[in-house]
Amino acid sequence: MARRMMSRYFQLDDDDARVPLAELQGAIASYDANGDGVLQADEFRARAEASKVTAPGDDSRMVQRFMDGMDPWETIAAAVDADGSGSMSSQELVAFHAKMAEGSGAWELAAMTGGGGATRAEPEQKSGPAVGSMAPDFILEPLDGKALVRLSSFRGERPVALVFGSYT
Amino acid sequence: MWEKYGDDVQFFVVYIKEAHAIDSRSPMGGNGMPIVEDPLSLWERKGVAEVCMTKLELEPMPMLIDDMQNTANNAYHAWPDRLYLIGKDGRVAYHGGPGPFEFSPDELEEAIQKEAGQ
Repeated sequence: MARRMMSRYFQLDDDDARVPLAELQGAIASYDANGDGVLQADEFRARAEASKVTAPGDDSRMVQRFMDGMDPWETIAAAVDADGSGSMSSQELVAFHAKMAEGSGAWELAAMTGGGGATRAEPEQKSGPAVGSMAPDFILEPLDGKALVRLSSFRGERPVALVFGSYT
Repeated sequence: MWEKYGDDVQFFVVYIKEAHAIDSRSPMGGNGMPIVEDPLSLWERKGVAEVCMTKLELEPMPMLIDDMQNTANNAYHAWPDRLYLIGKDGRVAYHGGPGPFEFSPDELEEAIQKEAGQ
C-alpha cells in the first residue's frame, strides 16, 4: 500500500511497478521545501494539503476508500523511514527502491521454479502436511483483535476447518 | 457449511499473502474485482483482510491473520488458497488440493461428515 500511496502523492506512473529511481527521487525532491535533501513529515503534510492530491482515476472505489482512511505520511514512512527518524533521507529512499525491485525479483523466481508465491526464504515444500500427520501448530492474531489463537488448543476438543486464502 | 457444521467444527479463515496483488507477477483486479497492493506490514494486511471480510460477507466466520513471516502459509503450503480439516486428535484429516482449481468445499464437507461420524 505504501507504494500505491506514493504513486498517489508523488504523481508517479502507477501502471509500472518499476518506477525508475531517478523519477522517485525527483518527485520526493519537489516536496523538500527547505532543500536539505531530507523529506520531513511536516514538509510532506504541508505540500500534500496544499496540492489537494486526488486519487488517480483507475483506482477502484474500494481502494480509494481504503486509502482515504489512512494517514498518507504514516503509510509511506512505515515502509521508507527505516530508522524511524520521522523523515526520509535519500539513502532510505534508495533502500526502499531496492526492496521493491527485489520483491518483484522474488516473484519472477517463484514463477520460474513453479513454486507459486514462494519467496527465497521459504523451504522447498510442495504440498503441505499429509493426511494422518500431526498438524503443524501456529499462533495467530484474529482480525477482531481478541486473544491470540493457538491451533493445538483445539486438540481433544473439536475438529478445526482451515480455509486459507486472500482477497485477490 | 459454516452454518451447518459450525457447532461441531471450529472454522477459521486464515488470511494469507495476496495471490494477485497489483504489484505482483500475476496481478489481477479491476472490472469489479479488487485491486490490492501486496501488504508490507501486518497492519496493512489486517486492513485488506477487513475489507475482504466485509465485501465477501464472511463475517460469521472468525478470521486469523497470518504473520508477515507467512508462518501458517509456509507450514501448510496454503498459497494461493487451500482447505484443511484438522481432526480432534490434532492430525490432518483432510488436505485439499491447491486452489483455485483443486479448491473443493465438497471434499471438505465429506471429510467433516466422516470426522463427525467417528
